[in-house]
Amino acid sequence: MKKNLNIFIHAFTIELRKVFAYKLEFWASFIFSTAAMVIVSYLLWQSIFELNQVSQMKGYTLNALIIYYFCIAITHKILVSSGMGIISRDIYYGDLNKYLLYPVNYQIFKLGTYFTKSLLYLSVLLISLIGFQIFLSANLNFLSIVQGIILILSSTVTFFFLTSILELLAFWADHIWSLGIMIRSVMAFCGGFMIPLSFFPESIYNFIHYTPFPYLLYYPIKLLTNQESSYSFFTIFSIHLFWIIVFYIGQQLVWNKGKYKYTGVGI
Amino acid sequence: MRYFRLYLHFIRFSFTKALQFRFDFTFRIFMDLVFHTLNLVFFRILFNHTTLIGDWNQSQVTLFVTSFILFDGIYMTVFATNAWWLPEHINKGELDYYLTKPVSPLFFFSFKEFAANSLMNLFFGIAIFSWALTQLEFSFHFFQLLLYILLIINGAFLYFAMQLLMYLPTFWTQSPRGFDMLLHGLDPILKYPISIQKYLMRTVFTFLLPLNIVLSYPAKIFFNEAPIKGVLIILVCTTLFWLFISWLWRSGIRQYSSASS
Amino acid sequence: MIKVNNLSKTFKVPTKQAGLKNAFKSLIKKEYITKTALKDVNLKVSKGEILGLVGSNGAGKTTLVKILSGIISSSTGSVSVLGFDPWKRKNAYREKLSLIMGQKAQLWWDLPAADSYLLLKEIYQIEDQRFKKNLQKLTDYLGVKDQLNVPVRKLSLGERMKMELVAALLHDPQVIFLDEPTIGLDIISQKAIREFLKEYMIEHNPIMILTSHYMQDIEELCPRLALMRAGEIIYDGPLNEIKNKFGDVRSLKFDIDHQRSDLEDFFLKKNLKMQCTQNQVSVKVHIDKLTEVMKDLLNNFTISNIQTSQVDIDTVIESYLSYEKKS
Repeated sequence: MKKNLNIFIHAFTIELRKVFAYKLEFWASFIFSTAAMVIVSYLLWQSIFELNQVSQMKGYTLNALIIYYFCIAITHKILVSSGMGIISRDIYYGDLNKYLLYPVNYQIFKLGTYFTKSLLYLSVLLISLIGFQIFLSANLNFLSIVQGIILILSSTVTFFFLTSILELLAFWADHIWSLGIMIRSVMAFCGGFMIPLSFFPESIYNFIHYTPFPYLLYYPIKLLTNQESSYSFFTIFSIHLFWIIVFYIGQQLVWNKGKYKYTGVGI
Repeated sequence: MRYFRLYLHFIRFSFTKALQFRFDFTFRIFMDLVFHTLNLVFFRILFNHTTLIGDWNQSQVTLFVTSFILFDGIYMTVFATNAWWLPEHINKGELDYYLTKPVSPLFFFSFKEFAANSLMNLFFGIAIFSWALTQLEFSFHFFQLLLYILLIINGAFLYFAMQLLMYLPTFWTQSPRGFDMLLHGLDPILKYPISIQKYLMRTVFTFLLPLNIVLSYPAKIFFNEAPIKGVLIILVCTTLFWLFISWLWRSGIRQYSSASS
Repeated sequence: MIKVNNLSKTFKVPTKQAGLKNAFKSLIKKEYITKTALKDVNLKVSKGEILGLVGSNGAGKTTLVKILSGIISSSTGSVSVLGFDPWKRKNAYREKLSLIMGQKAQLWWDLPAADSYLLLKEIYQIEDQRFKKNLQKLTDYLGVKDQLNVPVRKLSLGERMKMELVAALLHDPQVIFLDEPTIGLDIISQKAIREFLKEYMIEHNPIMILTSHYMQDIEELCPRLALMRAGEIIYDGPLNEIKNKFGDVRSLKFDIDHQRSDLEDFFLKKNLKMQCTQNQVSVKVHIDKLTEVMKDLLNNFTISNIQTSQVDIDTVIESYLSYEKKS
């Protein structure tokens, strides 16, 4: 256990060094993409509010929508972290060899790598919560923030295992980035990235609750921002656990089949 | 003419390659279908709660969204792969060979990788765009449509130029990916109707980083909102931006030559 | 004709240190150091000549070749190749130029070489007739005709290098730069490529500069040799001369039955450096001193299996590089 923790921390620091080596690129793209998403969404809703002469829709005021889009944009970043290819590139270019030779758990190493950017984004999210409280009169609460953070972290683990299943498909197909983009856009959409779920027509709304995605994005943010939610902290957390187990089993199955396909590239 | 023949070679190469990677081919179709469907659904949901977005009605917004699909098809087929590899070519010294050849290296890097495996998505884009045209509640002239399509193609070129702008800092910073995620993050500006933008923002994304020129202005022109002024703005912005990029490219090459050994 | 006068090249590199602390430091300020890649290089190569460029890693060989082919610019000094300034990268110059880098491929990885050749035909605007003739001839020479339609990634390293050579020579270049053309190849492929280059030189008479780590490449192909160290050309002249300069050094080898620490002192006194593997000892001795050294050796130690031989070119160059360093 201690050894695994060390590996995790080690992978984490290596990745952190990489991030800092290109810090300008990292922060610039983070800030720009978040800002663009929030601003454009805000403008979109502002024009709709103005046109229909209302001050709130489905329980959201414009201020609440700003907070919502801000949180969901960053949380989405936390979940998808370092982009596609974290495992598939190792397979395609044969770097997996290296990790197979190291006496460490490959998964934990990769999870550590995955978490680096996530935690950086998370820290930004936490700092900005203070801003919401002061400027946008958000109704925050310490307990709900803690619960929200825990849920965001477990969401990240859940999504990591889901992506790793797709990434492992690289054992069979050379290029799988398009699958990754697909699952991300589905996750984003069903998690309420583009539009809060309460705006969805009932049929779609009901349907997507059978997928893990609303629990990864939408509900953790509801808790974080202390809004009324139809699911409690413990319910969402157990749903996460359930999906983590499902994805973990799936991933083990794929790994066990796939490893025989691995050619090592260049050996 | 010679460059055209070179391009034919690239297309031929691409088909040879595409046939080797069939998974990628199907995945890409899948991805695009899902991606664009979600986008269409998003606007449909919005229209459950309002009748107009900015000053466009549902059929106009739908056409605008499908013009994004068409644009994406063109961009993915012609430019995306090239753009993707550019920073690696610069970093890993692939550029060396192209500098010693009697052909413009920029041409090479822009068109080398034709993505035959995205061609299906282009057809899909054309199909859905044509469908959206039939849903429109006003009539238009054939030449208007032709101009619209030409302007979308111009948009694809311009977007590639913006992509170059994100990658060219690689010459100076040697970073592995440049600022490509930055442009990617600005996607919503490309995809949402322009009329929601306020004055300052509209100016920035029209004249500084001309994202509005890619799709929004062509749509405005097509909807007769600012025909002559719009075409003028597009022409000026596109030209200026390309001049700027080619200047940047040349200084990048100069930097490459003086900073490496 | 290649003319290089007082050429120097310096460039800046950011320093990067290990450790998280330093990563944070570089957040604030990047530090640069100026490196000198080439220092006061003078060189003249004429048509039909083949120059061997030798030096250890980082000596500046590749930098020089890159400057000559116009990929990178010089800091000071003048360069002229065929009357062109390479750095201007005129098409007229690039059409006459060919660069082959053993470590970097120019052929398209996923395609058969034949496809890449067609592209090159277009790039260099080679007429059909000439293209066909050249392709025929080159593939015949190198014996790769059958592999023309195999995707490059499926070729062996040797075949791939041959294909690269064909690609580089299709347009009848007048200046050819070969940067480590035999790197990583097995002995048979190395030999085939050397043979080919020899014949090609005789027939086409281009200007050729060859850099290589394999002394054998140089020995067989290049009558003239330029030695580089730390960005400077420290020797430029016939290969034979450098051989003769050290021709009167002999390598002396013998066995000794048990290790003796005083053996080292013995040689040290005589200002000689010995090398030792288990119980075999080897040492390089000038021919004038040879008898004296052997006599003293036999008097003081029990040794057997004594051999003397001429030193090979590798050792010659090695000793030249270290010899110059001392002085």
